Amino acid sequence: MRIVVDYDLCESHARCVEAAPDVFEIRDDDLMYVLDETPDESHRTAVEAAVVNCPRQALRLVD
Amino acid sequence: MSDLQELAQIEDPQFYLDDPYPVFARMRAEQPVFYYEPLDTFVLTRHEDIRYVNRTPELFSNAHGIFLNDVKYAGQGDMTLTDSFFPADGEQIGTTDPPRHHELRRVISPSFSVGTLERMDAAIHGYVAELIDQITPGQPIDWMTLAGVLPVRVGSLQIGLPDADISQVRHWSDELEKLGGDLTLDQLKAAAAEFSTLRSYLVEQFEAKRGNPGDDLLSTLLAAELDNEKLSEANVVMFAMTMMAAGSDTTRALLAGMVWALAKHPEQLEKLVADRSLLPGAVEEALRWVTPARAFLRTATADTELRGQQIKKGQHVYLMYMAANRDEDVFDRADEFDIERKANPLQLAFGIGTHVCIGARLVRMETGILLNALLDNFTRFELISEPTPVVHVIRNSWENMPVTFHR
Repeated sequence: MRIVVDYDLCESHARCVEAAPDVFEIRDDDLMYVLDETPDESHRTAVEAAVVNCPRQALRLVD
Repeated sequence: MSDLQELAQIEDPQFYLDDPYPVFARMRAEQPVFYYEPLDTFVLTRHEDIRYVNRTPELFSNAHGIFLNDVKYAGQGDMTLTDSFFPADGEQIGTTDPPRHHELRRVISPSFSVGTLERMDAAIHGYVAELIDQITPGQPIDWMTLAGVLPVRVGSLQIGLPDADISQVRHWSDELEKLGGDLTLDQLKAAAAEFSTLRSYLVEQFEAKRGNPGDDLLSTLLAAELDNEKLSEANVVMFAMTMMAAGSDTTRALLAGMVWALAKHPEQLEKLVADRSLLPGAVEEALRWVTPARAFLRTATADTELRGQQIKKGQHVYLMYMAANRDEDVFDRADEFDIERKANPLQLAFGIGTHVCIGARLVRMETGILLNALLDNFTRFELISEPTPVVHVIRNSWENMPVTFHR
């Protein structure tokens, strides 16, 4: 799976970090960074939760 | 005509006070795209459909208004009723579609960032401590009045307004509330005029910030550029007005509704007292349960179809968030208040997508700080009598809420 972020939408609300802290991160500049754009399957449930919960619906999963 | 047509009186505030949930359950099951003829509007009650509309702003626009009153009083002037509450020369973020919407949001989003909110944490703890100090254990208080101060103080801090002005700020916020109320056009025009006095106050505050910028919204706006220019005064006023208005009454309703729900469900409060790690879930469940903003409107920009129902360009859809928050396809035993609910991050009290509440993180933070402090000091919340509901079309709130907190 591959994570695609629409940065026009992302506002760094950090809900994805709460859902999948191994995959997403907020850095000192207050912006969201994807730590691993192609996380392994063990992260699927957490990443799917991040996608669904994203307030701005800025995340997509491409298989 | 089905009897649902008789039952679903969505313009009547009393409909919402008389337990509308059985009607919404029938609408979700029988007519999830329900045609409300008087306003040429389709009422959506399913979680999935409301998410879809909110993700599809190119087809479902905010620019023709977001309240039923915008439809009801359309054609009475050259702007929507919502826009008439705001400076005519500014851009209102709630009634602006992408791509401009994204540009406007980007101007203010730094003042809602994770780092900015962390720097507000100590001040909010201070406000909460002062609030708790005003509660005498075992003595009844009006929780609505007491809790209502917190969102106004937090909102003023976030915008960068002096704490000393909060009663005036509260007054302006109350005037804007009338926009979604069951009022005549003349009453609404009077409220819009009253709200407009806020403009000169905000310009004064903005000027004062020039010499002493901070971390707040007004300082963010001072430093911001839009279209490669400094922000116009009209847009500064617009942003500040919008944030002031959007955050206080809604949050007040949440803070009250959360205590009301926990008082009504003492077994849930006991779980929370025993295990503080359940707190974020309790806040989320309170959001789902209360849904302070019941619904918002969109307008179709082209002919389209939803669940086989034709929707023509110019017709409206009404996103009944309170109904989606009880959708059994998403929430098991949706009519039960359960702080351990697994699906509760899916609650739609903040909306989702393009126009999702930009202050959601701040609301979760201040609500969590308040609930934590209540749990530090009290173990039982007692409703002294049934609270008086606010009579309003979209606001789910209360005029008063007599509560006793017990140690």
